[in-house]
Amino acid sequence: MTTESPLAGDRAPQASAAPAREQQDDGAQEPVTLIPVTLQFSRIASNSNLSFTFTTAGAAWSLGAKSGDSIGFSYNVTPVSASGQSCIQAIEFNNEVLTIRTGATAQSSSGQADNAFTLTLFLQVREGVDYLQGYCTLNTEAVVLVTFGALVPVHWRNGRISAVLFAPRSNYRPISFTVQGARPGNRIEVVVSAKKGLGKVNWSMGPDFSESNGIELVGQQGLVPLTSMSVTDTVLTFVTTPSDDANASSNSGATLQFSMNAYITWAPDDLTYVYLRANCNSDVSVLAQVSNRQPQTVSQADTVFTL
Amino acid sequence: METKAKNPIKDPQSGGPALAAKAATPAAAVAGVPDQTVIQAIARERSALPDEARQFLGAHLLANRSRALNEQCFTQVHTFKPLTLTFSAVRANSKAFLTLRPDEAAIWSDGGKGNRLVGLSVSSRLDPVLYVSNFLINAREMYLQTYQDAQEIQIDLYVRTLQRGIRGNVDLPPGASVTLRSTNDRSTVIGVSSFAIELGEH
Repeated sequence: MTTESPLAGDRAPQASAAPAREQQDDGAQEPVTLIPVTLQFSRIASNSNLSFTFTTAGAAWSLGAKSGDSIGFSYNVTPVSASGQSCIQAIEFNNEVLTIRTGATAQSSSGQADNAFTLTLFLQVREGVDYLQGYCTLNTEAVVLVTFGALVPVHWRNGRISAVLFAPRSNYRPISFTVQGARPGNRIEVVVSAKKGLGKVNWSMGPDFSESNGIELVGQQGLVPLTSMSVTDTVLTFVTTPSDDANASSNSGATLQFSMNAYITWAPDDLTYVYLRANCNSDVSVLAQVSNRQPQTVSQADTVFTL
Repeated sequence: METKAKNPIKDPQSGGPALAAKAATPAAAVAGVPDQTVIQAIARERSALPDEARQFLGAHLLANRSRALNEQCFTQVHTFKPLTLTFSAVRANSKAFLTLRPDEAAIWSDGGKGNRLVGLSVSSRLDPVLYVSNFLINAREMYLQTYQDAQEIQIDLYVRTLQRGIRGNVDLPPGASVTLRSTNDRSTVIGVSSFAIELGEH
């Protein structure tokens, strides 16, 4: 540390130093930003190698710096993850390369491309880097939906890839949740609040004048099973479709499922946690994820989510 | 009336700054700078609280004691020591946990920057695929959840630390074991145990 100098003129001698030293200097000089990344893979072929390589200087994959409830590097942990059998034999990332080796799964001996999974990790960028370029190697059918921070997701397919990066706004976080086990005609309320005297929190469409994703409602069984949905400052209300006599006989035991992506915003900026509460029947389960923290089941009492 | 008439004439003279200032004011108001009324409402709520509750309002700041230490390791430590963790015989539908102690000045890492081809990897050499329904690795913790009997799951990573060794805890299902191997030490643990491993200098 003592021999390191922040002067720009020292660059050349540092570069000729031993590799271990060069690594030290690199990290010490540049302040970096960590952006959470979610990759949703679909139609991935078995028995193949997938890779993502960045060619933009100053951008690298990272494990992040948080412990506790941080999601870090994860596989199929998010509320919208596909469940079922894995197709991965090995997965590795270093600086600019993320590689996934898929194995031969039992049901897809014909080599069909039908595997889906979700990964999360961080993108480490040097301050001032506002876009990203690179290339990826995938099977031709494969589609990867990549979300950087709170931005609208980008589609990556086999070939060149890119993404525009924006500095994250301090008092907005994306939130996604899945509602499972609802019956026809149920009323489900999701309430967001903060500790009294500490701050205020509201549902939001995302930061103004930015590439935010707004509010998105997704039916996970084809149709969105709702008769109504309403958003107020702090309460989201869903009413599921009442059962139809004709359909009731055919799937009387069936439960409804849907998911939603939205944002929360709060004041003052230094608020560190909020509460979520689900007002619904106790056999309905609401699994929520705030930004890059681990998902948690929302109880009928206040449930703590850090920001 | 007179002032209004003057303004359009003045504007082109004073040029950019006047226009920029005009544009900036509404933008700042819209773009989420908290409204004074909200801040006042929060302050009113706070003053309405009983003394005891007010005293412990900031108590949550003590809750995550590793946070500052993680941040410090991430920004100030640039020494990466390789470590291999091998989980063996993890039975179906079970969960294996492994964490670094919260007071260790060490975090898991992918190896930082540099022209390396080896970073953080999760793989299996014995099973055709990783029999995990999900896994998670963050700065101190990791877990794996299986859906089928897994013979072996190997995780290669780095420990970002200046310490000569690290300590941590594991929580494994019956029958499973985990072997930690650094450049100069090895340790195998089962069940709910703690571990300590030398990482060596460099």
